[in-house]
Amino acid sequence: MHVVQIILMVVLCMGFLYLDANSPWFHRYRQYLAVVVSPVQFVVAAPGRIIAALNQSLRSNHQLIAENEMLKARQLLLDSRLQKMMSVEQQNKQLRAMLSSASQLKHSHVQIASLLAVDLNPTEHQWVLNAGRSDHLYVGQPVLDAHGVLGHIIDVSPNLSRVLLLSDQRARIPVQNTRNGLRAIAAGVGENHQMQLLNVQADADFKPGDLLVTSGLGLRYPLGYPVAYVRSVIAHDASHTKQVIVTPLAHPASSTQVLLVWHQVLLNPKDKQLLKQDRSSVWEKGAA
Amino acid sequence: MKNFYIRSYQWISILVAYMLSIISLPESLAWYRPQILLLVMVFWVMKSNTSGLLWIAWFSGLGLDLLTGSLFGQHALALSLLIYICLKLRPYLHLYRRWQHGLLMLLLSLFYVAIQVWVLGHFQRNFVAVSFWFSSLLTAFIWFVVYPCLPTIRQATDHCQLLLDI
Repeated sequence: MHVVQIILMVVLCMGFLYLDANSPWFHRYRQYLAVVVSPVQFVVAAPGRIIAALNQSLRSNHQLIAENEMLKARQLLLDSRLQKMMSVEQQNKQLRAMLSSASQLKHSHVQIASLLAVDLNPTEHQWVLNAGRSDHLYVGQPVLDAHGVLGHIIDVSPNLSRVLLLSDQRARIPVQNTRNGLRAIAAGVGENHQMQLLNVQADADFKPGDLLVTSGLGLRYPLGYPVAYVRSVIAHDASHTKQVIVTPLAHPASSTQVLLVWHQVLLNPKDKQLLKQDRSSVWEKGAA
Repeated sequence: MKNFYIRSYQWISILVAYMLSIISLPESLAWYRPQILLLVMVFWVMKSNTSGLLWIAWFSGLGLDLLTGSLFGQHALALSLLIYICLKLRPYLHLYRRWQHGLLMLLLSLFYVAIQVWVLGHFQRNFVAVSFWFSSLLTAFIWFVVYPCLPTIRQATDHCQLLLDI
C-alpha cells in the first residue's frame, strides 16, 4: 500500500518541482498557497517585534533628547546636500530634453517597510517583508536600503511579500560605471557580499574601486541608485574576457527597514510600441 | 478519542517544527540549522500508529517549502522518501541500540541533505555551502540526546486523559 503512495508522491513532487522552476503561472498560484503558512511567520517574528516596541517605549528622556539632536544635525546636512542635488536634477532634465532622450524619470514614490525576522532556506537568498498587496506592492518592485539596491519583490501575498536579494544566483541587475558610463549586467553568485559582471570584454574599462549604479535599462530598477563597487578585475587572456568581481553596497545583514520604490517611466508612444513588440517576441520565444 | 489526541499532538509538533525551521539565526549559523521536521516525523513513525503518516509527512513537507521559499516539492520529496524508509524499517527499530539509532538518524539526515542538494543542482538554483552537510551531524546529535528522554506517546495521552478527568 505504501509503495503506491510513495510512487504517487514522488511523481507529484517531481511535477511540482518542474512547474515551480519553469512556469510563471504556477508561481502565481504558489503565492496564494503561501497565505496558509504566513501566520507561522508572523508568530515567529512576534517576539522580536515586541522587544523592539518595548525598547522604543522604555527609553529615557535623556536618550531621546540626544537622539533628537543628532537627527536634527543630520537633517540639516542632508537638506544642504538635497539643495545641490535638486539643481543637478534640473540640469539633468534639461540635458535629457536637449538630447530628446527616450525615457525620463518621473518623480518616484518611496515608502518604508520593515523586515520580518524569519530565516528562509540558506540556499535561497530571500527575505520576507511585512507589507503586501494591501500596501500596493507589486511583483518586480525595486527594494533599497540606505546604502544601495537590495533586490526586487518576487511574491506578494495580502500582508507579506518576498524579496529576491541581489546575492541570489538568479538575480540580475543592469548597471553603469559612474566613471565612464560603461554598462554591464551584474549577477548574483549565491554568496553574500559578492556579485559578478557578466560577459565583460577584455578591453572594457573597469578598475577596482569604481562605483556602479543602476542604468535604468530594462525599466525594472530606477536610474542612478548605487549598486556595488568593483572589488577585483581578473583578465582571462585565452577567452578575451575579464572577470569583474563586485561588492554590493547594501548591507542585508544589518538592515531591519527597507525602502520600496514606486517608479514610473515616461516613454514616447513610439518607444512604448517598440517595447511592447520586444516583450511579446520574448514571450513567444519563451513559449516556443 | 485517543487517535484524536495523537493527531492533534502531531499537528502541534509540526507547527513547532515549522517555527524552529524559520526562527532567525546569525548568518554564520544559517547553514547548520538541524532538520527539525525530519526529527519530528521520525519520532511519530516510532511512537504512533502508522496510518496516514506518509501523507502527513508529504503535506507538512509542502508546507515547509511554502514557508521557506524553497522550490515547491523540495522538502516534500525528501521527507516522504525518508518516512517511507522509516516505515519499512519500523519493525526492526526497537531492536536497535541507542548509538545505532543515532547512526541511523545520521544516515537519514545525510540522505535528506543529499536529496535537497540534488534538487537544487538539477533545477539550477543556488550554491550550497559544504557546511550544509554538517547540519546532519547536528540533527543526529539532537536525536541521540533528546530521543531517550521523550516520554512514550502512551504516557502522554494517559496524562492528557488524567487532566480531563480532573
